[in-house]
Amino acid sequence: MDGPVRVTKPLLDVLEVLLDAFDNDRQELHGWAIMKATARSGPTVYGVLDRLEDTEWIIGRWEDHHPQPNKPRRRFYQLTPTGAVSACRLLAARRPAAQQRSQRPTKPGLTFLAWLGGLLMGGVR
Amino acid sequence: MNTDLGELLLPAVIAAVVSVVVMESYQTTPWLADKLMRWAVRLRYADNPERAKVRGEELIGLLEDLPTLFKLPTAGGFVLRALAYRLANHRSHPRRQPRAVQHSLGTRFRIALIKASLVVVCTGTVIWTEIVLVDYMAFGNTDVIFNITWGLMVGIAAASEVAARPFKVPHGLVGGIIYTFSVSAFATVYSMPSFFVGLTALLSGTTFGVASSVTYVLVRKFRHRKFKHIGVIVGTLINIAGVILLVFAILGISNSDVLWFSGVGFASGAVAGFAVAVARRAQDKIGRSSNSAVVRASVISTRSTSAPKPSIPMSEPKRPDPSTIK
Repeated sequence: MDGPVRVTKPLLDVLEVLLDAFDNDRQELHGWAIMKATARSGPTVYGVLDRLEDTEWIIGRWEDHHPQPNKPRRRFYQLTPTGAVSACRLLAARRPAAQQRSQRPTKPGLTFLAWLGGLLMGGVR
Repeated sequence: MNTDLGELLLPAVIAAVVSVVVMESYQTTPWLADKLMRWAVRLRYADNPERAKVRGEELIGLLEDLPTLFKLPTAGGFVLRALAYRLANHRSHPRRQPRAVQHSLGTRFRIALIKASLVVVCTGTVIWTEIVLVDYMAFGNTDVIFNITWGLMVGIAAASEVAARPFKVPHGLVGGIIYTFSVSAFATVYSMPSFFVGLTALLSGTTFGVASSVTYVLVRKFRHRKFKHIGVIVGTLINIAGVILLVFAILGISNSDVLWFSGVGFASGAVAGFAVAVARRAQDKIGRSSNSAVVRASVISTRSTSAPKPSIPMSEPKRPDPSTIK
């Protein structure tokens, strides 16, 4: 699969945010949330989303109903599995610091809790 | 007493009006932002209707999430981005193929002669009419010979521009030079001081060349694009500006001679530039019609004589291997 034609700072920002969401239990983000997280303007963010959709790195999905009444439904975006791998590689090449930040070790207490949770759920990996 | 009352009331009235305007604009902002956003989506995704539908709904919904103060700037940003995209990627008509058929020398000469005559008559008539009107309204002057000579001069300069087109010289250069010499001769005949003759001729020739070049280039460049009338509009504005300078000169404002000659140069140049563009368009049409005639003739002769077909490679061109593209 080909990557986006141009790798720009906004593209890397958006990928970073989407990758964080993907790592965090495969969360989906809507456009306004991505704009807030990247601190980028709407046209910039949607230009990047267009390019990522063209290359099938992300996939969009309409929500059924907005949580608040009388509000239009939103469209949520998520990295595809291949998109996540490619984004990981791209960020590792272009922003190693950000990659290290996202992969930093968790606190010992949380590690223990995660191990305990895993044990209770069916074995340690 | 009345003045005091007015001074007291005025700030209150201004405050009330401003507050009403602000409130109204605050209420109309979402509506305007909505309209702008729809327009931006239509512009940006004109080549992808499916995505236009999705983004239309999504971006209108996005506006709902934004605070009212940010709605209009955000929609404006989308419009600007869409316009930039369209300007960068959109061409409404493909470029015309270069002409394959060359006319014979005699035909070319006849065409050039007819075009030059038409340009002389058309531009000369327009400028003559303008100068006659201005001259008559200002001085009651009806010196027909003077005005006809001036009109003819402009026409010849414009015709020289037409003749110079095939030689790829910069736009407006030949016309400007011819016009400069014409003005020199004109001023000498009318016994103007020699220093004044050179200076004003140069000024007039330069303004003629600039106006002619700008008008011609705009008309030609935008003829197949969305704003195809921009050349005519700009040319007309230059012409009107030139006529206004003429009027100022006649009214005696500032150095009237400089105003007069630069005004004449601008007014004449704009008309000449437009005439040259029209002549070029006529030439393109002649080329196209003769091309199609030649193609028809060649098809008929091929059918009737059962001549061997030219060997055109029928296989599809090789596509590059996608794996080799980075």
